[in-house]
Amino acid sequence: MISDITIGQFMPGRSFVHKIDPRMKIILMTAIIVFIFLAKNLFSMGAMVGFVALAVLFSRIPLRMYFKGLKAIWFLVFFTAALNMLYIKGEHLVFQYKVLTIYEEALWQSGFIAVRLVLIVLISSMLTYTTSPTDLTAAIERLLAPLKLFRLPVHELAMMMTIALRFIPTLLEETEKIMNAQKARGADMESGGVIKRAKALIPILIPLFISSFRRAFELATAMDCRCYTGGKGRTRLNVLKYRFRDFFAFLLVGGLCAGILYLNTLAPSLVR
Amino acid sequence: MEEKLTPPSASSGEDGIQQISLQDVYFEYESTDEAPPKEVLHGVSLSVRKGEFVALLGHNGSGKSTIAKHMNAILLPSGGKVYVAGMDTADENLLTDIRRTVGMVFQNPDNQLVATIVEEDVAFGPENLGIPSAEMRQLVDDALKAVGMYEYRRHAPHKLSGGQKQRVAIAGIIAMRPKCIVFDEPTAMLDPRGRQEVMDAIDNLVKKLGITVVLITHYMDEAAKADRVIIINDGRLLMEGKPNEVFSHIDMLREHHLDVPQATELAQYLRSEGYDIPDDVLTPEECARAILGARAGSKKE
Repeated sequence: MISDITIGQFMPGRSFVHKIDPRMKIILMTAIIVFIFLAKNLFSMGAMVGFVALAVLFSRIPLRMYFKGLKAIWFLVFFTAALNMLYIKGEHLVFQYKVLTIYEEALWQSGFIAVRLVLIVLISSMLTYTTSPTDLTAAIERLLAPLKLFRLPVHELAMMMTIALRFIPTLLEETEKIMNAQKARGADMESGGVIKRAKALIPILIPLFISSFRRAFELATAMDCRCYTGGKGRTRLNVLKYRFRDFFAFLLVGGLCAGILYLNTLAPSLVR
Repeated sequence: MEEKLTPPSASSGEDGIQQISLQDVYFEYESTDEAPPKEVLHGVSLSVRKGEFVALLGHNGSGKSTIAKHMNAILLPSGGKVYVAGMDTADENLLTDIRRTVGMVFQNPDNQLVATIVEEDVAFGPENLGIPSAEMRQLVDDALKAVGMYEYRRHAPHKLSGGQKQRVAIAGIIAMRPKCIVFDEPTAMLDPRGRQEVMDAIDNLVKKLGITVVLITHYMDEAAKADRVIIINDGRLLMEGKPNEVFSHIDMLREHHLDVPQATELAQYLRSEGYDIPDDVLTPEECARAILGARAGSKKE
């Protein structure tokens, strides 16, 4: 039922992509996304598409999972591409019908935008498919650590994320219980207009809120009892360690980025 | 009736024998807009010795949970003193040491687990104490093995049964290597099987790890396993003694709306019917043996 919903859609596996240190993975994914925007001609974009395609294959995640991710943004890709096609003006007119004009530059531009969006979705779903939420949280905590200098409560944010992840299934289960209890008393949640259905949610939300506050209070006491005093002086059970394969991955992506900058110089840019 | 115990020794356990000592503790909840201050403990004195298994019994609202919360400084007494291994719980500088010495397990296992993976949850306490990760691995593995949950170390807590979750919560406390663990109705939300699992885990703590246990419960059958039973009524100590002594006062317990273990009740009933059965029977096994013994002899009179 609803408690089956997985968070972050992590798919355990043993592929090379799975095994990269989560911090390195986040850094590399960010670099790739930046360079997706820097690839400006067919050579460099071709290299990027090839690299992402290989990465997708090496992640050993079923391809249909990636298609599922793409399905959600299909409309957005189509829409932005179409708008770009109609609005961008250039020098080489390809097609004209009354006020409707399409230039060659606009065709390239919209094509590139569509490809960029698809690549970004692929690469970011790869991150969530191959990294467990726990690893992601730990990596984010470590990567944001320098921001502590600016008094950003990095540890507290990571702790909140962990607790949220921990309690999502518990609260979903509880919601289901409350819904069933209300249904058993004759609550009708499926019929009626939007307003009526929204009103039917109230008897579910109120008990849920009350119990969440009680949970929060009890959890805080339990954390106190386990000597939790914030991030200061804490150690970790699983320490993230960079290994050889992380440097290898770093070199691969570094090579890709350098290659893209080089390929960009071989032919004139097709997009701005 | 053995009204109360010997007065608490002045030196609150520097000798290492007394682990927890409450000395004439009063406690009142602060007044709110609607309610005046309410005193729930009226001068409680008790002590727990090293390695002891003590059960604290009482009906709802008797103050037994409030007493428990005084044992590791979640609540501070409004009058009197509480000492944990010689440390005054009112001293804020000692807070971490006190909570390291006395761990606490609560009723609802769901609301005690912090992390999304069992072993990371067990590591939460040691992480807070700043234990180096190399040592921590050993602590976590040992704690999980002590409650029989080692095979589940990579599981997500929400996929476990109630009894398993509660055992993970216990492991999370054991991993901090406390000298004493206070259990606040740890089985109240569990099914019979979960209750059994948790009680077995607690037994193991006392017998194998030598951890002092204070068990707060309203299940008489669980209390029967303790070395000593303390009965709390209306914020005061009512009775104290070995389980068979305490439970033999059925009438007095009834008067205060407390049950006795079913086996004890049956034995008592059979006695009143004239069978030759001792009045300090606690477990079903003891009861069965007593009944067999009584059958072997004949009916009195």
